[in-house]
This record gives sequence, C-alpha cells and structure tokens, in this order.
Amino acid sequence: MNATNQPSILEHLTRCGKDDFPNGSDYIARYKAIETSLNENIHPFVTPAASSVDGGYLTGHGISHIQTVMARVSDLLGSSPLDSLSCYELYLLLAAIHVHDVGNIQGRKNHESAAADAVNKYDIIFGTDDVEKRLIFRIADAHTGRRGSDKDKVSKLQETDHVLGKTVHPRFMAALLRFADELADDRSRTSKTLLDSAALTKDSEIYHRYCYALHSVVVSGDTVRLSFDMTSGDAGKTFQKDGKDIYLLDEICDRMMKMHSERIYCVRFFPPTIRIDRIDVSITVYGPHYIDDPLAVINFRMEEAGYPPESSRGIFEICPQLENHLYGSPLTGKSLKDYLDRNSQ
Amino acid sequence: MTDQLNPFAVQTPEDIPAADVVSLFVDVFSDYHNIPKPGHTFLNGPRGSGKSMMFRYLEPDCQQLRLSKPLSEIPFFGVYVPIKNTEIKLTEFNRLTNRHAEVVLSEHFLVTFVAVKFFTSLLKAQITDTKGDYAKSLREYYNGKFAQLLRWNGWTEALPDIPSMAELVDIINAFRDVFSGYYSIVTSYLRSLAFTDTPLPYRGPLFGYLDFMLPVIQEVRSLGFMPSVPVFLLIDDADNLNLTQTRILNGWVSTRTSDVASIKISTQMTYKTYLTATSQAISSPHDFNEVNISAVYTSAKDKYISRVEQIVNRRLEKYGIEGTAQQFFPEYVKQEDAIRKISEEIRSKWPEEGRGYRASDDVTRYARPDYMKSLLGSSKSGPSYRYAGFEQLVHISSGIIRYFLEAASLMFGEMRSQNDGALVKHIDTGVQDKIVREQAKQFFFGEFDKLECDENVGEEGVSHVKRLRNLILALGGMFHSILISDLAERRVFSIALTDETDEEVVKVFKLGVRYGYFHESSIGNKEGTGRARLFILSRRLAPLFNLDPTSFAGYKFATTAALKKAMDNPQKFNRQVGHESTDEILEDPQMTLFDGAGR
Amino acid sequence: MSEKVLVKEVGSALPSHIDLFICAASYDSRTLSIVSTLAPLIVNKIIVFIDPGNSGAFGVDAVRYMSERFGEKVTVVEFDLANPLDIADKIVKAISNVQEATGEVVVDITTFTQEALLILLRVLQISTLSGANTTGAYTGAGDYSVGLNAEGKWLTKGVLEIRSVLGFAGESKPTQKQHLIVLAGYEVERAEKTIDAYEPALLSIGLGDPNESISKSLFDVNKWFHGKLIERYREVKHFVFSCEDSTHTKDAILKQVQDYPGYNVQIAPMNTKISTVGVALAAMEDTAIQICYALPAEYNREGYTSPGDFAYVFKLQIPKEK
Repeated sequence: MNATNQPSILEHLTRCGKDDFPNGSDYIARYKAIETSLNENIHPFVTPAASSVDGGYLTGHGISHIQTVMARVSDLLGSSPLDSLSCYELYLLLAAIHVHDVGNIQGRKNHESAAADAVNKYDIIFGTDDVEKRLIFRIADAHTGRRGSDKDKVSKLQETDHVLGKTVHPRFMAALLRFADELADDRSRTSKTLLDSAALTKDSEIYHRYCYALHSVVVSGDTVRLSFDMTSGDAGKTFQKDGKDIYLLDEICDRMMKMHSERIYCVRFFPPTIRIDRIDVSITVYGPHYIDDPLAVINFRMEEAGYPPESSRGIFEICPQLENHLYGSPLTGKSLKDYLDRNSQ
Repeated sequence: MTDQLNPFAVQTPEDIPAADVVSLFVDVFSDYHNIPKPGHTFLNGPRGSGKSMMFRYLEPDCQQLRLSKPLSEIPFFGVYVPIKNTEIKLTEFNRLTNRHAEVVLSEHFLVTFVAVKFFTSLLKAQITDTKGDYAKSLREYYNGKFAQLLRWNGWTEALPDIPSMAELVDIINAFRDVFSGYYSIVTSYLRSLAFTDTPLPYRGPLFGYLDFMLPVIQEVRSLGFMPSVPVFLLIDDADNLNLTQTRILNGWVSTRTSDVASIKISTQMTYKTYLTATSQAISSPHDFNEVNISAVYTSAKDKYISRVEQIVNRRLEKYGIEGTAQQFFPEYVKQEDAIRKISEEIRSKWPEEGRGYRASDDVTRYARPDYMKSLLGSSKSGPSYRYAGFEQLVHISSGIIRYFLEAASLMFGEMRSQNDGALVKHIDTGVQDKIVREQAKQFFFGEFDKLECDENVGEEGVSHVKRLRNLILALGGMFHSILISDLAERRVFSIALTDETDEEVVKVFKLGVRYGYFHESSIGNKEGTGRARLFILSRRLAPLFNLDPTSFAGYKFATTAALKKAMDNPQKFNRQVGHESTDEILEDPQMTLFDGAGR
Repeated sequence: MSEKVLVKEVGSALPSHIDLFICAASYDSRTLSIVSTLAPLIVNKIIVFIDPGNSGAFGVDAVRYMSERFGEKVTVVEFDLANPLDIADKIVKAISNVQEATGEVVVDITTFTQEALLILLRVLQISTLSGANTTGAYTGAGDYSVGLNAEGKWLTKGVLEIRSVLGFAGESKPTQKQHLIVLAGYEVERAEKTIDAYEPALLSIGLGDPNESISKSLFDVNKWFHGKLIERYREVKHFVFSCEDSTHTKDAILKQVQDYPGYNVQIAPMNTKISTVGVALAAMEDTAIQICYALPAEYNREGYTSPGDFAYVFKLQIPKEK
C-alpha cells in the first residue's frame, strides 16, 4: 500500500492472470524471483559499494529506495494503474525500478548504463528473451544521465513497441520511472543517525541534508506536494558542494528547479489521463528540537504560469530545423524571397 | 573471337582493385562537394549513374593512392557498406512487424553488418604494424573496454581468445568474426520465425548505433593506427533496406555525431521514407545534405559530356585501344555532311527568313530536324537516320553513365563478332545505330513488348503500367510530329502540367520517373504565379520515336485532362496531333478533329 | 528421375490411391490437366489453393469443377499471393488440419507461383507430412504466350519487388560477396532486372540442358540470353541444368555452388516448376543458400500457356530438416 492506502502497483501485478503476459508465462513468479535475488544479492550492497568506489557516502539506493520509487509510481498512476499500463507493462516497469540504480555498485559515473553488467554477474534470470531484458534496462537507463551531450534519453525510446506479441509504451514507462525517482529523494534515503555520525564526508552531507529535509511527498490529483523541514541550525549553516559553500535552502531551491524541469520533461510522455501540472513546496524551519512553533514557513508553487518567456533566438529555439533550412539558413522572409527569385530564373 | 577484353563491360565497383579505380575514375566531386566533407549526405541517382564508383573511390586504399599519402594523412576514412538486395531485407523480418522487437532487432542487425564492414575496411587499408604496438593496443581494447561494452549491452558470453602474439591483421579478423557471429545469431533467429506466427524469444546481443557502434568507432580510432579523421559510412543502395531498417538509418542520420561518423547514403530514387523509428522527420539541410545526380547533369549537359569523354578515353587507354572517344564512336559522315549542308543553307537564308535571334540559333533548332524530315519520304530501302557519333550516344544515355557503358559494351561485342578475330578499333555507325535502337526498344517495357496498343482500352481495368506505356507512346509520337513540323520550336522533349486536377495523371508520370522514362523538374507556370511540374522524356527513347537526342530545350504545357485522354487512347491522340494545333489539343481536350484552327 | 507420360495417361503413373492431392488454381489453363484425370474414388482429400484476386475466372471455375467432382473431399484455401506470410500461414494451417492418414501425397506443382511452390515445399519439409510418400506432378506447356508470334511472346512484364523466399533465407555472412545464380527461362527482362538489382560479384547463368529441356524454343532463348549477358558483365559463369528432372537440377546447382566456395549464394529460379523443385532441394541440402523471387508487375493472364500433351511425374524426396 502507498501513502494513500491504495493497492500499490506491485499488488496490482499480483492480481494479473497468466493470459495477461506473453505466451501465458508466469511473470509474477519471475518478478518475485528477480525481486528476491536483487534484495538478497545486490540492493543491500549498492550504497556501501558505491561509497567505497567513489569515496563519498551515497544516499540510500537499497531496498528502501526501490520501495519508495514504487510507491511514487503508484501515486502517479492513481487508483487504477491498469487503466494506463497493462499487466505486462507493470512487470517491465517494476523490473526496471529494481535495476535502475544497481549500476552504482561499480561507481556513480554512468551507473545507469552499467546496470546490466552489474546484474549479469549474479545470474539473475530476466526471462529467456533478450529483447525484453534489454527493454527493462533501457527504461532504467533513461532515468538519468546523458548520451553524449544529450540529456533527452526518453525520446530515444519508442513511443509504442511490441515485445513477444504485446504492445508496450517504453517512453511512458521510462518517464514514470524518471519522475518517480526524482520524487523519491526523501527522508527514507538517509537517517538522523547517519547525519549525526562522522561517516558522512563533507561533499556528501548536503545530499543527505536535502533528503532528510524532505519528509513528505504527496501526489494529489494534478499536484505534487512536497514538504520540507529543517532546524534553524541547519538553515543557518553552509555545506560543501562542488568546492563551494551552499545553504540548505539554496540546495532545496536548486533541486526544486530541477524537479520542475523534470516535471515538464516527463509529463510530455504521459497519457492525457495523467496530469501533473504543478509542484507545491512547503519549507518549515523549526528550532533545534522540532517541537516548537515554526520559526519560518516558506510556501511556493512551481507551475507554468504567465505568458511563456520570449527567447532571444525566437522561433529557432523551438524549431532548430528552421535555422538550417532548404529555403535559407536561417529561414526568413528575405531568404524565402531570394530562393523564389533564384528558382524563377 | 579475339582475347581483346571489352573495355566497357560492367564490373561491380567493390571488386575493382584500387589502382584500377584511381585510373578509371573521373573526379566528379567538384559537382558534389558535400560528399567528401564531414556531414550526413544523401546521394540520389538512378542505377548506373556512378554512385557506387564514387563510394569505392572514397575508400582508404583509393584515397591513399590518389593522394600519394599514407593512411595517417588521408582526410577521412571511408567504410564501404553495400546493401545488396535481399541480403539484409529478409522476408522473415515481416514476422516481427507489430509483434516483437522489430526495431531493436533490426537496428542490431544493421549495426553488426556495419561493424563487419568497418573492420573489413581496416583490413583493406593494409595497416603496417612493424613494432606490433597497434596489435597490442587493439588486443587490449578487445579484452578491456570492448568486452565491457558488450557486458553493458547485456551480452555476457566470453569473447574468443586472441593469442598474445597475434598480429594486427589477425586481431582485426577476430573482430570481424565476432561481429559476423552476432549477425548469424540474428539470421538464425529469423529463420526460426518463418513458419510460426507466435513471437519466439530471442537470445543474443542487442546493439544500438549510439550506445555501441559509435563508441566502437571512437575507441578504435583512438588507438593510433587509424587517421584521426571522421569516418564516412558509405551506405550504398539504401533502397534495398526494408521500411524499418530505413527508419533506423534515418535515426542515425538525425544524430549530431558526424564528427565521429558521417553517413553517406546512396539511393536509386526509391528510398522508402525520411521518418525515423521514433516518427521524427529528417530533412535537408537541417539533418543532411542532398545531391541529385540526374538534376546536376540535366542542368549541366556540357559537364556530363566532358565526364563521359574522360571516362571513355581512360578506358580506351587502359585497354590499349588507340584514339579518342570521338574516333572510337565516329559519326555517320554522310549524314553529318548532309546536316552541315542544311546548316549552311539555313545560315545563308537567315537574314531574310530567320526566326531565331542568331543564325546559329536557327542552325541548332532546325538543321538536324530538317534532315530527319527529309528522310521521311524515302522508301524503306532508302537511308534512315542513324544514331551514331559519340555526342549523340552521350545524349541518348540521358545523364546516366551506365547506359552509355552498357550500350558501348554491346556494340563492342557486336563488332568483335563481326570482325572475325581482328581487333576492334572503332564501332561502325551501323552497329551504333542498331544497338541504341535495340536498347530503346528493350527499355520500353521489356524484350517482348509490342509497340501497337489496344485502341479500345477503357478507363476501368487499365493499370498504371499500361497507362504509362500509352502516355509514352502518345508523347513520343507527338514529339516526333512536332519535330517534323514547321513550328518554330521543334525540339520538344518535355511536358509541363498546367494543372494537377487529375491525380491519376501525376501518379502515372511519377511511375515513369521511377522507371526512368521521365526526369522530373519544374518551371514557372504560364500565369507566372508559381511553378509547374515538368516531365522530361528520357532521351534513351529518342531512337524509338525518331527524335533528335541532342537537344531538349522545348516543352509543351498540357492539362491533365488532355493527358488522360492520351493515356486512354494514344493512337487517336497522335492522329489528332497530326491534324490540329498541338497546343490546342494539349490544353483543350474537347477539341475534335478539323474543328477550328489548324496549324 | 521424372517419368514423362501423356497427360491423359498420367493417372497410371500416379499412385493408385492418393491420400492427399495438393494443387493450385490459377488463370493458367493447366490447372485442371491432372486433377481432371483422377477418379474421385481414388482420392481421399484435395487441398486446392487459390488467390481469388489473381486467378481470373478460369481459376474460380476450376475450383467449382473440383468441388462438384470431388465433393466434400475438397478443401479450398484462399491466400494472397502478394503476401508471403499469408501464403505460409494458410499452407501451414491447411497441412496441419489434415487429420486423415497421409501415406501417399501427390502435389501438382504446375500452377503454383514459384514462390508459393517453394513455400509449400518448405512447409512439407517441416510438417507431419515429411514422412509421407510424396509424388510430384507437372503438366508441360504446349505453348507459352499463346497467340503471339515468337518475337512478341511475353509471360510477365516488369518487376515490382525482389524478395527472399520465406523459409529460404540462407545464411549470408557480411564477410562474403554475392554469387547470384539465375536459372533462366523465357522471362529475359525479369532475369535481367534481377541481375541488375543484385549486381553480384559472381554471376552464374543456368542454361537448360537441351537433352533435358521441355522445349527446343526454351533452349534457344536460354542460349541467346547467355550470349547477351557475357558482353555486359565481366564475370559470367554458366552451367547446365535439367528442366525436367529436379534431382539433376539440384545436383547441378550444388556443384556450381561448390565450384565457387566462399560466397553468399542467392538463386533466382525462372525456369520450369520442376527445376524450381530442384532449387528447393538444393537449398534444403545446403541451408546457406538463399532463394529469391522477383514479383512481376504484370502477368499475361489471357494467354499465359496452353496445356501440352505430356506430363511429368517424379518422386518428391524432401530431405529431413537439418
């Protein structure tokens, strides 16, 4: 169950029948085997292994994080996920959620692409068809990172594809995972104990502080509501990030801006029945022990409002193909006239 | 028969040794300057227009010879990727459509195919590795990053071992074999699909262009034995890809990665789509440059003649035949003398009777047509027009070098059998004429076609193919009538559409373009308000309709309604043309015989 | 070996009892040549394949005739000759639906298209009928392109598409070059277009053996065509194959392939159906061989052929799938 006490996507999966899957195979059993194997052999070790490789202390990437991402996906899909995804797609998405961060076991860099490598070492059975397996890893791979200089990984997937006779929607699944992962950076990924311990390196503390501050994520209709709290001590302190000093509030704002961008990006790939139009943020600053009245409350809403900002590049911002066009580079009224004049001769 | 080799016989360019390519090839890249530059390019032209030869010339072995430079100094590294019909467009792929993994398997298939060709090109480049350093670095890559890349793409089977003392050639061959093996896994899987409509699981690697092919190219290029220049993937005859494969290739073109790999794609004008697998459209010049060979030569005839002349002269020299192209393909002296005489008459009469701005204009317009007209009254045993002489043959080839070479090879064969063992030193004008007439006849719908057609063919049940045949008969006959008329412009070879009301007519013309019977262009419309489609009859058909192939300046406007009637009944159309104003027939199809103005 | 018999006596060369008779109905007037000689009592079941959009009135009438003559023993299966998957699926379904005992199977190969025949043979190879005693039968043509003189004869015009035959994809290797083998027949234009479409590194033209040719005129056309090609292409090999004995055809093809190893082999069968059976047998034995089919743009439906006086009957020994 998730925060709204609706059946999670996992529970919906277990209610599917064999005929809902390719060749009538038992995909539920397969999923459970994958889950068990990853939970036993990989998930508990991702965070410490990554920390060991990279030298920092990664926020939680274990079982708890996987469960949080699943819960966020459930929240986004609402009470009837099978209205938006088929049973087979639920399986694919759940498997992708499980593997999306396991590449961290080899270090954070390019971890999204190293997932297959990490999983293969443990002979985890993803079925007999490598196309299906690849799709799972491609969905997982699209949750972060770049391909060269291009961050737009989701568009590189098919909008609709066919696997073992079933129609699937890879872009939608990848966008769901991506946005849900963005929403899953909450308190469950760290702990007070860890924050208070000396284990955290200076470079990793800000990430843990951020996660700890985010205590509530609720998807309500077309709005995501995020609630942060922090002590006045944390609010007044700076933390190290990329060689600079940064306040926690600034980190929250940076991350909210990223989340806003991710929302705009990901909802492009959602069906019309799933709308996330805004993110409401509430930040409360308390005294040292959280039991007093708030010392400061900051609320703001992130949505596309007002008239879209004009771009200095004009239409070429949206339509780069007009910058280099058959009738002119860039295409303008004058270049069109010149083209017509040349051809009429 | 002599042992004298036929200098015009067709050879698949990929089989021609580099030295021969460099000696035979006439550099055309001043016309197609985008091709040897980084950036994706489409090169479109009918079969036989020289695309494959261009690509062969761009391969490293030819470039090294041409530039007299070592591999490390050539400006790009060309990887020749010929797409042979049915080689990768297997019918079994249809089993995957809307069923299973069509896109991902097709891309993997293409990637492994290209990868094999990439390593084949490295072999052909004959890289010297005296110290063994390159072998060492390539072997390290094989066992290290390459193996890791395979794992990242989900393939965990161990690679075959490469002995530590293996030479560079052996290691390159090992890569070729590995990719060839991956290719075979797919063909084996596809074969298993032939007679089942249930999607079967696929076990095997799955590689993509961006996440696999490009990293391989980048890494191998960085090892030191390749020049640090862009790789050109020379995809030849991409029309032979199926629809999904075409869309995947378009996806590769849509990437901004031409600094690593530029994709040069040749097509025979039947490329299936410009959409990618994710339904985005690629366009020129945003995503690629485009070159249309026939357009270049249609608008620059002198260049084409010059090119053919160079090609022929090189071939004659290579095969030990003395003389120039003009000497090897002589004119019919009697005919040309008669035409020269007519030319002189025209010139002398021009001050009083001339129609053109200059005497030379009238000579160009009327001398040859008047000669052809003068032959009309002669008996069957009298002289007929001969299509002979290098220039005429070049014009008849319609801008496609292969048509010239094919006709030339047949002429050579004919001369060889007539010569009874003696060497062929030139082609008799009678043989030239005979072969091009035969070629024209064969070109017009195959060997066993009849030239007369059924007069009573109605609208229903007439296929596009039949309509096209009728259209060509009608237009060819009309162009001949105009040629022997007294009209001011007699050398008409083209039709411009006044309207596009009847889409059927446009479709039939398009079919004709596809089969090579017409070239398509455009001109300003009659009203001066835009452009009209212009369809130029292929000069390969000139001998069939006794037209003058040396010119094609003239055109006629026609309504689609008039052309539809021509398609339905070409003989009736040609009879009308014989008696009435051509312009009126083409623009008012309701005009009946002997009604109104004559000529 | 093929046994050559008068058409009206073909029944005596066929098994005295036929469990399953397979044929195709088309505009070709030879559709009924063999089946009309069979007594209904000796045949247990008939499967007749037809493409209604392509068979013309003659094909439809032929099916009606068979249904009237053989009653419920006839199963009519419609397929779409433009869609090889449909051809395959319909054939597979029809064969797998055969419940009756099938000790003796006769296939009248005459009026199948080359492609449909090849697919049928492949299905027979992988089906439960692979163990049956299978006999092939073929009605020779008296004349091709009836009513037209020699210069004007045509069977098909134009080539819409060239595709690999389903089930005979071959095992091409991108490290090897192409060897195209054309078994030439009357359709010179189609053969030339096929060769032009492939531009192979090595081209082999099969000439019908004059001693095993269905007709002398076919042999003459073959010879003329070969002469034309050797001027156009630098590397043209030729070999002789049988037009009337599929085993001889198979052997000739396999020898030609073995004489030039190291190539990806594509075969374009454009001769008699018997020789096409030989091509199939060769490709079944050497699974690296691909068979291709050039789909014509137009057929001379009105005067395709007239039935000849002779038929050929032969054992169809389809090898087990490797």
